[in-house]
Amino acid sequence: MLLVAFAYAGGRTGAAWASTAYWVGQVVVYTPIVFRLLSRRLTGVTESFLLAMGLAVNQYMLKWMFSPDQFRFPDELQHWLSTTIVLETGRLFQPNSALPVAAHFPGLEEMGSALVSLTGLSVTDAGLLTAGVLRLVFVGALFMMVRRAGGSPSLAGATCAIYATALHYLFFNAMYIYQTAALPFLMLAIWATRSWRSREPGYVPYAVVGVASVAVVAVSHHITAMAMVGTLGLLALCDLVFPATHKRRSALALAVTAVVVVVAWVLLVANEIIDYLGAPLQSMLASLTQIFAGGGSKVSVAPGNPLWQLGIQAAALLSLLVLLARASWVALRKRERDAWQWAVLVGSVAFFATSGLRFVGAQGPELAGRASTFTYVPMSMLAAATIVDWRRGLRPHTWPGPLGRLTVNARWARPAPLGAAMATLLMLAARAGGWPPYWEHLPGKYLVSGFERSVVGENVTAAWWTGEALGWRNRFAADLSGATLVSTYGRQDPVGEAADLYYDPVWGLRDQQILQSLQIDYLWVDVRMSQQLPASGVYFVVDPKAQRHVTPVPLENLVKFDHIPGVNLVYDSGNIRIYDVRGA
Amino acid sequence: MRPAALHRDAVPVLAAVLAVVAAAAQWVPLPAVRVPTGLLLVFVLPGLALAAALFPGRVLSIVERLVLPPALSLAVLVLGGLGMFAAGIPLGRASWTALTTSVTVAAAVVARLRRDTAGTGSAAETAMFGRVLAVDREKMTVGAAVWRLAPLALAVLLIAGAGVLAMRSAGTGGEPFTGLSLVPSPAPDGQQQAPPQTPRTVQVAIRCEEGEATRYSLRIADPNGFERTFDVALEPGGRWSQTLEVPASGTVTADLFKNGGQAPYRSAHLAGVR
Repeated sequence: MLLVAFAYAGGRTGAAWASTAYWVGQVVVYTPIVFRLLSRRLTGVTESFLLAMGLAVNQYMLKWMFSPDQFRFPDELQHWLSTTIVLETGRLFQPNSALPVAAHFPGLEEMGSALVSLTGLSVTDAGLLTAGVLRLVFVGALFMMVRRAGGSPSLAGATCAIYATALHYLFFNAMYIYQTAALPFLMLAIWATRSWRSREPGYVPYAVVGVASVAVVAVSHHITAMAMVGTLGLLALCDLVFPATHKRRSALALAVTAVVVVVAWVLLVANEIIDYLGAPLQSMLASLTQIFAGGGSKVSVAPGNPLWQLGIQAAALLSLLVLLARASWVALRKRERDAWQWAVLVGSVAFFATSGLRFVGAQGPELAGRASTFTYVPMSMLAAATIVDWRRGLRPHTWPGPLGRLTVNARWARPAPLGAAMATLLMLAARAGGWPPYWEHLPGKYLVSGFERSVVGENVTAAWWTGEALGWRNRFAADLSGATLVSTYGRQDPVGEAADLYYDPVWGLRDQQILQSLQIDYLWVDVRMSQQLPASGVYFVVDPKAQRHVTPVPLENLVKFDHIPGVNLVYDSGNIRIYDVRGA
Repeated sequence: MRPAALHRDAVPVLAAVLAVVAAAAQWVPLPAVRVPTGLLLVFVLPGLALAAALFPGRVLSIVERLVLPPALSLAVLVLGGLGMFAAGIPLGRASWTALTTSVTVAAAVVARLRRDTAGTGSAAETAMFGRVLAVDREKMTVGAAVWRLAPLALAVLLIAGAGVLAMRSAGTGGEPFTGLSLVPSPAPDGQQQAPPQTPRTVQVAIRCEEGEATRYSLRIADPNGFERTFDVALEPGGRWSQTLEVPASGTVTADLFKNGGQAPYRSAHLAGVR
């Protein structure tokens, strides 16, 4: 952890050694923990649980240390605003122009605002604490779910450790965002399903926890709610197809409950979500259609990961595929009848299916990462189980002498070294291909459209100024990071569709029409767009040149507003200029 | 009654007492009191009492007894918050305190009532991947505890050190800047906008984030001969603002010069009546 803290400090000052320290810092904590979890010397539940939770604390600290003083990721800032609104009004479901759909899923904001109200902490501090506790509860719930599913301490700990290699685990799912609030309760619902045995007395408490968890997920996050319906539905289906000795209907009961609660919430409270999720879905379907029609996927000209990182990602996916193939082979050979084992297998296949999304359309990589948050749960269970049983499954001593000594009978082929090496490969692949992207593994100098790397003092100051000097809810055109900041700190109504205003070299009638049709009051202009290509591939929320930028925006295009009659330059901090265009 | 059973019975009572104390502490204006008691009400006490009420026997493993309290406490906030909102109760310190405290006390009462009817079921389950679950209960000796706590203490020290380093370095590497703004002053409440030919009021402001004390010269002028100048010295983080009257027509330009420079360092302009 200290190594990564030094790496982050070095990144902020541009030190060349920082990247090396970052990668070494990741490995020196992660690998020994996995080794110990898979070791035959593991003493039992206490040690396994402490190792899993220790790793969770470590990983959350890596996220916190990246930005300990403020939220920087757009979604976190949007939820910072939602929480602030709840605190100011004392009411839920209040409009939030930064992320309108979040108003219908107030779970996280309730937790955050309660913590602020009861401790007096700032929203940022309370948010960081809430996200940290939710992360620990999630890992603890995953651990106890695997234990209830019949897993040994080693398997439960190893599942948690391997899940830590999910693409969005390190940062995205530890942020102060609504998915973070819902995830632990998804695990808890599955745990309750497994624990709830209706033929025995005392099942009611599990049913209570299960139903409460379903309700919390439904009112906290839309995607997690849908994943919950899918997961519980899959478990119910597997229970019906492979009935256990004593009938278990808990999965079916909870799946039906989840469907009713989620559908009721969407229809009665959050029907806006249908359009919100429909747009990316349609875009993805259009990309799929294009691919199947032989047109291929749009090729990005934005720089990608370094070659060595792509190699690691490919090797990691291949190793997971090997584990899936082996688990499937064992299940078929044994004519497995355990419903949950089949559910895990199907879930793991779903992981590979959703991994393929990354090649579909511009939003593919993001959607693949989002989906992996859920599909990687069964994948990590399967991977851990296969690694734990690896050697026994290979039937050592049945291979010919020298071949056996070099392979299955060798010391390196024991679960601990082999599993630790494989898990380390997965972890490196996740850090390389997950969030944060490779160009912001370390904090550092300002990057245009660089998410966390775009939130610097000058931008934040300008955003606060807009709210203080201009009032709230003006229509503000801005670039990607500017739109996030003015809509949260500045409380403005962001306009992300005005890219052409910035791309046009000369002010003309079309620009006037854009101003009028989008009812723009102010323009946020970051002249650094003329110095850098966008790190994320887009300058604007809606960017007609997305992923196709080969040169920065010419400076003349950005300063043309200085000389337009009726346009006032009301704020100038060097890089950020704010124009009042109401008189244009 | 066996000591372990006594211990389990004491948990909900202790939770209820602590909840009442923590609720009272919410009106103590000391962060050192409010923060820990608030954390207990938000993350621990409601869930602890609820877990004791729902699972009074030995059904849960140690891990489950550790994970359920914060999870159930957060669920109380989410579902209870929705209930309060539906009932028209504003969400604030008083309502959150009342919710968490009342849930804790009510659950503690239920736990006390259910203590005699508690079963002693185990968590044994069916096999998965060939492994069979048994609720593990390790015997922890003093020596073993010391051996395990020593690395924990070291880990806490390392985390604290890394945290301090992160906090200190978070403020480094920022680019210095100065912000200049020029906006029309809003008309006072209830007052109409000034007639077109009367001077208009504008507000000009400077914010210094240069990393060192900086001298500025500010010139505000229009093409028709109006000019005002100000000399301003600001420390890092310092602000300066001035409200002044400028001619109604013509474009007023504010040029900010830094440390005696000849070229404007920052500029802003406002068009007048056309």
